[in-house]
Amino acid sequence: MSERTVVPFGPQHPVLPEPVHLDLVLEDEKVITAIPRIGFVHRGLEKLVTKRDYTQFVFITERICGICSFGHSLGYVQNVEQLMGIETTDRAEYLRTIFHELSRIHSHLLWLGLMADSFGFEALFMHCWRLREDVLDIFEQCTGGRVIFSACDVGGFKNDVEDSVLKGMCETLDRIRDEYNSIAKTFLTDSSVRTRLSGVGYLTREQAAECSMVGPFGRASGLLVDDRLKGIGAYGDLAAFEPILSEDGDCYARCYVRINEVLQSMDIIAELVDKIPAGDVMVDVKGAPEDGAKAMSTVEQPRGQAFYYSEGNGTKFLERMRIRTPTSQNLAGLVAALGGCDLADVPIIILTIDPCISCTER
Amino acid sequence: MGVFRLGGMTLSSLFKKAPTRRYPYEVREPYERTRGHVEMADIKGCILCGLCQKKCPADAIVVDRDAETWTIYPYKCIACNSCVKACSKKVLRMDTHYTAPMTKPEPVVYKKPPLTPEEQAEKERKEAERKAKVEAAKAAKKAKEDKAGQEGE
Repeated sequence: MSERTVVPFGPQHPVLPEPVHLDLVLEDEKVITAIPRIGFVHRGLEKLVTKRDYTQFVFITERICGICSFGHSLGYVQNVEQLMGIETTDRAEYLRTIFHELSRIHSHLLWLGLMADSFGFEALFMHCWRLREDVLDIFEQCTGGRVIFSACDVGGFKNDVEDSVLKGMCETLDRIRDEYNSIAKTFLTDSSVRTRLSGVGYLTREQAAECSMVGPFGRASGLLVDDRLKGIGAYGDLAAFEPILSEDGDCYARCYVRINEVLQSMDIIAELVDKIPAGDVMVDVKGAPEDGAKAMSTVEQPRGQAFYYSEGNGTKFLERMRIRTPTSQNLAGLVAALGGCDLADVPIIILTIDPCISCTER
Repeated sequence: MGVFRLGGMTLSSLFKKAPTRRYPYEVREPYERTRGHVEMADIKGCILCGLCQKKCPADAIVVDRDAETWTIYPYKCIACNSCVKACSKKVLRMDTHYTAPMTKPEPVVYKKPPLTPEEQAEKERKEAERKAKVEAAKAAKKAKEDKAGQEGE
């Protein structure tokens, strides 16, 4: 047996968009185990719930993460609405779901770009991000923000989006789809990509279930975990919804799942734009959450299930707000996937969980 | 399986218009809803009620009634549009252009201009009217109470 060495990985590393540290225990070039450490970007956002009232806190939840900012604001407002017993309008629910799916597209395109960058395919990286710009333009046109939308509010959706704009959105997505298909074909059939990803970071379904993995990371191991199946919001009105699954459990499978989820999101948006009902997008919200009221809810974010818990105390300030993000779930799966891999594959495996450390630490 | 799967897209990019711009020399027109920065459009119309300051989640607005100033810290502002929505006199405006670069994160202060003699006279007249109304209401209330007291006796 050769001597074991520990190689520190991160918190600053070219492949990491956000800081996470891993102590890689190596035997020659093989990783025996990885010990993760987080805590580099803790901002204490949950505590701010005592300083900002429940309507102002929406802006703070949006800033938990730049990429899933809409998912967080959606999860928070759904949770507070549950806490206060508010039911929003159908049109607001549809708009929320449409924008949530759009943010899934932009998040996955960003991830695909980073993935291409991590194995040195710069042209692919730039094309992914070029397409993502079109999605960001849709956001800016409809909500006024490119990354932080400030579109969700307790009681509904702040600004209504006209049907003509929604139709234009679908046309843009149709245009993107053609180009996206070429990118997807490259990811899935180019031999250089395939050689780099196939069989790397393999996890069985049992391991995935044991580590309670969520989102595309879990689905790539054949685990049926998707909160959209619960039919919360406008998801319940979809004619059919089947989560994208793969049984392979390697980096290629995670890529496959995310690539197909982008196409699935485009289909969901087209269906919801066709079905969207007319009407108001905001209901009046008065008063404050009752003392002792508690609410729990989940949202399927681009990276997986996010959990929200809130507690009222009779004032406009919440007593407690707790958010569990998908990456904190997936870190255990990451450590399991890293066991036994080559040192050169570590960056790719870390990327395939789509780590969002700012989310995790808040 | 194969190689150069992206070849077609990459080659065609050579003959297409560049998707990037030479910013800041070429600036794209912002969308109608773009949240750039908050502007005080009409300081004369502002009644310094302080609603915007109360609603601001970033504490970026300071309203000083004594000094008659409305101050915004552009680098604290998160352009959330809360103040614009809350403004009772609709004198705040969300501009579609981003905050201009600064060498120091200094506040932007708007001070209410001094009133012209006509405006001063109008203000005094309104104040006197308001006082007269209050006095009349007080007198009416007192008379009502006295009447009720006499009836009670």
